[in-house]
Amino acid sequence: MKQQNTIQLELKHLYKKWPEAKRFLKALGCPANDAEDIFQEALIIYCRKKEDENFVLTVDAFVYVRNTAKLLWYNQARKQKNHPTIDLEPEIQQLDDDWFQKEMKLKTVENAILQLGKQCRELLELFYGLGWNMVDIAKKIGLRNDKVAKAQKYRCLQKAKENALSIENSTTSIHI
Amino acid sequence: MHPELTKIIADYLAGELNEADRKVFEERLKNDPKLQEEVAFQKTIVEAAKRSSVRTQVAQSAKGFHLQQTVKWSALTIAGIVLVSALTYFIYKNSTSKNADITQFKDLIEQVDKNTLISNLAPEYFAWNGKDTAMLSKNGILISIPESAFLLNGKPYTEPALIQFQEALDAATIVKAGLSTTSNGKLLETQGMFSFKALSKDGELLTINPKTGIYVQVPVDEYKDGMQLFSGVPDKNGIINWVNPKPLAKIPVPIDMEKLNFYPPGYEDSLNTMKLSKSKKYRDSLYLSCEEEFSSISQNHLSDVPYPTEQEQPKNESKISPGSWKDKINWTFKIEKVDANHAIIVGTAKIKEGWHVFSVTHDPNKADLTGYPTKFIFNKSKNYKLVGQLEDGMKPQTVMNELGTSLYFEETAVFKQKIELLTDNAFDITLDYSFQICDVNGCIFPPHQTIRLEINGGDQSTDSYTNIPPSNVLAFWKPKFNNTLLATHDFEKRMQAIHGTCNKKVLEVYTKNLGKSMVELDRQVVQMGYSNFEEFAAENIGALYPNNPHIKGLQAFYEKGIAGLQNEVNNYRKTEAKRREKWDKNVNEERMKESNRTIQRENQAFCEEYNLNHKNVRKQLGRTLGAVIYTNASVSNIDRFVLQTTLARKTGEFYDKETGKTARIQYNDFSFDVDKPEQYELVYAYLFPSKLNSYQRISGNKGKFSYALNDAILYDLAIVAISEKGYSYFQKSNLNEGNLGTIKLERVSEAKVNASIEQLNSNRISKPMRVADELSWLKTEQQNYVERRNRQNAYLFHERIKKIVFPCYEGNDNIVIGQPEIFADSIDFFQ
Repeated sequence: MKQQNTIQLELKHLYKKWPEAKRFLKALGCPANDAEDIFQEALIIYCRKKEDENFVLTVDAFVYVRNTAKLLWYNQARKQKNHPTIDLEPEIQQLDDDWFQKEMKLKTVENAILQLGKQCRELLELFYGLGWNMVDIAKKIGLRNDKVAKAQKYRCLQKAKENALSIENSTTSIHI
Repeated sequence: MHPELTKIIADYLAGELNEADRKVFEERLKNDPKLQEEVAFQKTIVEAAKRSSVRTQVAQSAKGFHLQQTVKWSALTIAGIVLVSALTYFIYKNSTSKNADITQFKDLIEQVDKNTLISNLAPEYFAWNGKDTAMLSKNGILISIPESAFLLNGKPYTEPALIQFQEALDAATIVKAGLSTTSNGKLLETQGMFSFKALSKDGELLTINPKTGIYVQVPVDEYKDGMQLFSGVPDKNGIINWVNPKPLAKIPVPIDMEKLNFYPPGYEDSLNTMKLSKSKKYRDSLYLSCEEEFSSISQNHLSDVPYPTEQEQPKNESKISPGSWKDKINWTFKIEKVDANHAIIVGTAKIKEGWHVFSVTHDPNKADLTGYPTKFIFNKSKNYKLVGQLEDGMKPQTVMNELGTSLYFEETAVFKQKIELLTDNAFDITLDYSFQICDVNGCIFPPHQTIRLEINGGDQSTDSYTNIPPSNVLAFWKPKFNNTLLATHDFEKRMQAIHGTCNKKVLEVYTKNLGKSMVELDRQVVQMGYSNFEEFAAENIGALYPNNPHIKGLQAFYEKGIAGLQNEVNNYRKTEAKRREKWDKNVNEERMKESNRTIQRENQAFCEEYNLNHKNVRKQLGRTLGAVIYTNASVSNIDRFVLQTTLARKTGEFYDKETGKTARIQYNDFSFDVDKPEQYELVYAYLFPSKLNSYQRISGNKGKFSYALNDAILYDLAIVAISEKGYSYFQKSNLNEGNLGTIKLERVSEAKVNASIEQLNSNRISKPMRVADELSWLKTEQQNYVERRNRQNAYLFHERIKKIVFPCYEGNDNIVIGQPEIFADSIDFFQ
């Protein structure tokens, strides 16, 4: 829990610089509508990366987030192909490693979670993401007890898997 | 994809499979590529859930960030320019009424459409129906127009009006409309401009009532410090010069009620110093318990059971006087405030069945000179004067019989006298009341009765107490009032000052106007004469969610809440008053019984001792009863001697002429001191004589006891002391004389005292007098001390708290003598 709090504090701190990131992305031609999504995605990647023991932050956290955002924007622009003026810079490619690719794929799978009902989503997030125990989770999301919560967890997982498969079928293939 | 499989994999991944199952599973996993794939898939799902969790956190921080931004600046900043001649801002009224129909202005719109304040900018139109209305422009500018916002030729205009509104919030629009951004030649940075024009149905130009103003809220991306509202003045060429900047109002920041503190200044600190419970429930309860009673008048019929002194209770006073008027009519008086300067003294009489008291309008001349109209007689005072005459507070019965016509009341009579208060200070009113009560058999005409009523300061009328009633504070300090003007640090700050004003009306300015802007309310308070609120007004704080449709409901909720809390206090007080009344009654009854018993016991003790002495004397004189017949004179001489000696309890000798012998009755001095008598509320010494059935109770003076003991008797001594903490005891047998010195009492249980005394009493003689009644009375007294002390402590404690809670409360200082320790934990508060 403590770690979560520090992450939340750091997120809060980083978010204060959002206006700066917005200007930065705007300067790269990113439309205002997309900019915040990209910034948030970059924050997610930063948080995920921080959990990796081998990860060593060599620059200021915000600079890392900003560069990640830049990379994300380039990726998106490249896919959409409607911003032909942008050229990839070499330093960006360094960031564009395997881990990053995997993360991007995971983002697609994440939709399977996001498509779940609010309760399911919260349950899985609390259990897997924040490592809560079932007793606390049951209390938090209003289930009778931990047994009920656990049974619900299985159902949610099952549903998430089904969601993931249907996403896979409807879009590009997911490499598992 | 089978659900059962999902479950097993989930348990496996979470490490929740037992040893055996895990081994089986891992074995299968090694050889089953499909299962491997499934496990990997599920791992991805779990990973995705983790990622989604991070997303949620990011989203939360985003929300927090934006919320903060909104609250800080953007929601209510007017950066821009107004093209209306008179504009004050920040007067706001809640508006739930619907906008008026725009179609009625169709023709007018066609006429004025070309005639806009800002040329080259398409106007927007709103219809205003003359009531409080809020409108939202295309770009999100909120315009709120209160009821009396407009003037037509200087007179209030209440008919429907047409609003022509233009806005230029982004650079493109500003440039396209050719709007300037200069103020007397200097460049301004702008966040937008708008124009506002109001027209009557006939197309006449309306001006904004400067007293009311309209409220405009402009959304901006970013608030910049020093942004102000400028008015635009077009020059000959139509170029607008922006002048007369005014500061913008800040929007208050809503805070959770739980995080705010509306207690009077110093309340929490003082309670902390007293080490009282920190629970909000307790503190609320204590705070509420300081609520003044509705009528701030106290009555001075002090019927309290007093502390008994160390002297014996008066014995001969007859406590019941049969035929007295007092058990037939019971008067109570109170003062009802009418307004700041007037009050009504209300006397209510509860009359015993069968009896009646006369109306003030009763005319003895019409009733064969019977009956006496009830009168209140006031002394002349410079503090008040009477207004009109004493009146009946209810309709009297008109009874016609052989005597004529009588006007009187049965069961209940109410009399009212209006007075005008001539001073703001507290004072007493002393009045005599005289009346006659009659039943079918006749009448009683009691002497004039006097009552003293206290009247508090003159500004203490029913609608303006000299304090902020706790109920009025607690009633809004609830989550229900979150997101209102009251749930802000700004109001918290004001509340501190409101407590200082001691004027409930100041609080009402805020609580009754949840939809208005803070600055307007601050100014209102300044106008009430509280210049210290100017500082608040200068902060220029606007309204919070003035459109909240719940505001009206909240108002009702608040009123209800106050009533509920007051009810709670009253119920508690009523219950407590009843309990006390019952308690006092019980104590009085016990005391009455005790004093009767004491008279009896002392009579018996005297008779018995007299007989004993008499026998003794006869023995000494060699006269045995019945053996010799004496002359009446000599017998009566012996009798007189014995009587006098026994009464005086002093050694005496009697020379019998007939026998030539001398008889002696000897009394020995006996005394002792009780150690530290001041620690006891009451110390009694009981003497159990070996030869008498009765026992004696003696009381000392400041711990010193002395008594003359009959030499012919051996005594057992028991000393009982009571204090609120319990009993202390000492006993010694076979005493006849001497000084026992200083006796240290021992703390013992009540049961031990009872048992010891019962034993002493029963061991001495075959038919000892009962002591159980005495012991039960002692117990009552002991408990009564505890009760008294608790009451006093509760009172003093409350006085102390009240002085903190009500800064203007001066306290009832005449009662605080030798302040005892406060045993806060022994005081019960209601919840």
